[in-house]
Amino acid sequence: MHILLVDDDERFTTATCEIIRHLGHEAQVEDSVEGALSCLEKSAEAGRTVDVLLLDVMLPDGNGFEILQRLPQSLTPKKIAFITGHESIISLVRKVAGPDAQYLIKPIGLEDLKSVLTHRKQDKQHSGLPGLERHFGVLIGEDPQMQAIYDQIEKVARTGANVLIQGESGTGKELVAQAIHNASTYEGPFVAANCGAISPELLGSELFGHEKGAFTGAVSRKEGYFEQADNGTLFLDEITEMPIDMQPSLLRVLETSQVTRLGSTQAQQVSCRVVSATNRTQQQLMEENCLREDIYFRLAIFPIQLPPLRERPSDIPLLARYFIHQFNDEHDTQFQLTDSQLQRLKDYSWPGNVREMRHLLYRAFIMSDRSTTDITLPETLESPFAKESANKSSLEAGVTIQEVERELISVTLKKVEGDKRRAADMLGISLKTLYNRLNEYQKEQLA
Amino acid sequence: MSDELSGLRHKLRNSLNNISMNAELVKLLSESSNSPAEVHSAIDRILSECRETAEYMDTLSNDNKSHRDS
Repeated sequence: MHILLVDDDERFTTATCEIIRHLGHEAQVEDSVEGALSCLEKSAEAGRTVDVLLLDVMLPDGNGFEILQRLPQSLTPKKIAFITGHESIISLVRKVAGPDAQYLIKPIGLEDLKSVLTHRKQDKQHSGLPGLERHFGVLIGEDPQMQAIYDQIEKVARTGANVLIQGESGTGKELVAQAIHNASTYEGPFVAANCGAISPELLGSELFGHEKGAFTGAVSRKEGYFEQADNGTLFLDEITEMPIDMQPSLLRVLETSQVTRLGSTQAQQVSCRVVSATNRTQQQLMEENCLREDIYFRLAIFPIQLPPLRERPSDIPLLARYFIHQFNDEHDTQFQLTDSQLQRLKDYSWPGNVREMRHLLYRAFIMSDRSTTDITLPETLESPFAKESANKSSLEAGVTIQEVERELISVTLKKVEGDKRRAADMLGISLKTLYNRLNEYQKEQLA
Repeated sequence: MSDELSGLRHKLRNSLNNISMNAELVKLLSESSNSPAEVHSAIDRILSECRETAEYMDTLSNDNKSHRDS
């Protein structure tokens, strides 16, 4: 690739050019608006068009945006990344250079530079919080289970394989789909459709499109999701909600890569990766007969299992801090979570997963006093789903009364953050009995 | 924030950026090449950037002092 770096800081350009060359690309440097414009023109004349333009916002004779404004469309490189010292400039960059413009925030690291130079739309990104990274531009979490998923995303993104993401509600299946798209070399868009939210009568026309007059109300021709996602990624959420009698039509598109709009006789060639998602477990998929076997194997060429939040508790503080940071950014506030609040969040089971946590923190954010930096969490963290899952786990045939008692004591103590007096009150036993039980458990553990 | 302070912030960020990129270069060179001269000049750039950063910091503390004294 031919890369033009426009920056007037020689120490930066020298090192960056050497790195670019080291990565196997050709690098050229200009230090001014005029220099950059003439270099782009000369390169085009010589038939060596610039593929990537790395552009400092502030230049001695003007600013980086000026180059884009003065440059004819034919000479504008395919990829442009602005080098800036502050995230606040990003919205300006997007306004001037379009939503696809990329940016490098100083201090720049090798990974940032690589992600701009390679085809990846976004790789790791600063989240705006030190020590926190958004993997593939969208995913947060450093738990080993998530690291394994990043590895899977990285590998599958290089192929054109269809992916089925399985995970509980609220675990971030759409973000994983977006991450796969971001990590891929597809130039087309990411199109998301929720099969459960579209009425079964409309699903066909939404997915495959329709011709004018195909049915009553079809007043004009419409492209379906498959066509919209051409050369990109189509995300089909809640795939198991698709009526079983419609699934053969989907199967046909997946097998032939051709889609026929309703009311048309001509098939269109489409090329997109289909990432589908369901919150049903493998067992449910088998038992409930909601997905035809043939379509399952077409969709789940590469299955990804997303862990529930309670299985990656180390990510809870990261996500919580990130959400609060987002709210602070949006509302110009300075809220912070204390260590004990983070611990409380960690101790909760989050049956609604990351979505539940984001909503809870948003509610807490709304309720908190903006003149302070303290965020007020609700007295108790619970949801109707939490009770359901707690009941499920503790009351199963074959468990002894002693075991249930022990679990109940442990759950209660967690809920009251170790306050034994309150726990004893809630359990309806004396404090002495509670101590006796805890001593017994300790002895058992030591034995 | 005063213009001076925001100018200083800009300078410090640029210095950190140069340190970061030159350090990345040293890392790359040390992994794959045997060109000590290139490594040396990258390290030299890091060192002079560090010296400049220290000077900026001095300006900051002198400014603060003169503000307090006045």
